[in-house]
Amino acid sequence: MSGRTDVRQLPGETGIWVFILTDLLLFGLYFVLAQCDHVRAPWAFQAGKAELSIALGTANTLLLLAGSWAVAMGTRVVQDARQAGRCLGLAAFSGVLFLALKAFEWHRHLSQGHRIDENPFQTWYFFLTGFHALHVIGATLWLAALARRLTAGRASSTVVMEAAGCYWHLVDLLWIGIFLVIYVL
Amino acid sequence: MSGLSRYAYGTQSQLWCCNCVFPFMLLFFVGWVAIGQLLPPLSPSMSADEVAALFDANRDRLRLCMVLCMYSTVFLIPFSASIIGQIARIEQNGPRVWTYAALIAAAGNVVSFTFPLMFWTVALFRSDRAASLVQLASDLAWLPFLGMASPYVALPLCVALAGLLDRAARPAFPRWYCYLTLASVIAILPAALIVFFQHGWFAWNGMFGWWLPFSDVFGWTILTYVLLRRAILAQASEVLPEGGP
Repeated sequence: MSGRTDVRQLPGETGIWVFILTDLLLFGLYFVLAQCDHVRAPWAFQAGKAELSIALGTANTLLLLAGSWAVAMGTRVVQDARQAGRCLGLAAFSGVLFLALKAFEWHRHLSQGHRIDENPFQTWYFFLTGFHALHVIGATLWLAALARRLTAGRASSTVVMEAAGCYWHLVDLLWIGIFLVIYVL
Repeated sequence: MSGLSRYAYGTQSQLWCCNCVFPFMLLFFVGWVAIGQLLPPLSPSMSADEVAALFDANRDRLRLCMVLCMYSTVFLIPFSASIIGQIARIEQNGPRVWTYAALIAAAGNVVSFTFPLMFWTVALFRSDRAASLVQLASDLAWLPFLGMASPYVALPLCVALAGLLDRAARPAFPRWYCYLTLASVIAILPAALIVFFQHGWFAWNGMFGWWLPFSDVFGWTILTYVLLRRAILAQASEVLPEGGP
């Protein structure tokens, strides 16, 4: 990992921030429209939320936060490449656990007879959690590839590692938004 | 033809292909919006009788719309080829996998664009067809036209990935554009959900079935045109330092 200059700059590269801001705007739009539906069909949201497990949602949140900690350690704190690789591997593992938990929750939800076109709450539940899971899959694969490279003793550029870290934090941030919109508020 | 003039000829050809985006958009907009008046699209919750009555009342206008939209694809092909030309430039020393992938994707785009137009044409062809069959042909057109995002997204994906892997001192495309292209692909993915809904945000006439994908593709195409033209001129200046062809 190369040394830093005195000039403050964005972590990663400008392009990844273009991506992050666009994705944030997109999810911002989803959250606003979900709230519009919440106002129009409060009964659907009340009944839907009552059936969801806050404990599972909280466990998902903690897993992603633990992953964010491991990513921060791997990209900003740990200097040794192999140790940084292990940290990123740990973060990728938290992504796998998150997806397993989400698959369990979906299976339980579908077994209860819920469908995506049942009512506005179910639409947003399936869409937001499913679309976010695609983001988690992307982040997990990216971190796992970097972890494999670093633990094998091969160098990886600081820019790429920071970009992957920023993407993981985005995925984490989006989940917190989903947790609030779907499980809590 | 000398090597230099052949290169200038190649640049001119690339610019012509790149500029084909304008007749493509013009024909499509004149056909779809001005003549067909299909903006906003028909509601997927319309009954078979409503669809048949609407087609019956606007039969010739919609037929002309389909013909113009069909011919607009003639210009989509060279525009796609000019994008692929730049991917080939990025991969000139490699196995050109993204070039071939983009070529297949562009061909798939043309098919997924023209087949729905053919189904609408079939729906409009006979006036004595049963309303349920007219609705069936209409559904056969709308669902792939807006929901079959997979062949479309492959082309921008190839551009983005080839651009991000470009290690040249002067890359063909700026890296921010490649990341923005990836984000635009992600934004369009929910369009596939139109198969589940007949009304609401995710229906084919809703925010994520029509308005967002439509704006996304339009914006990406304009931005790609601007950067593609710049890339073609930069490519020419590498060989022709005195102002190009």
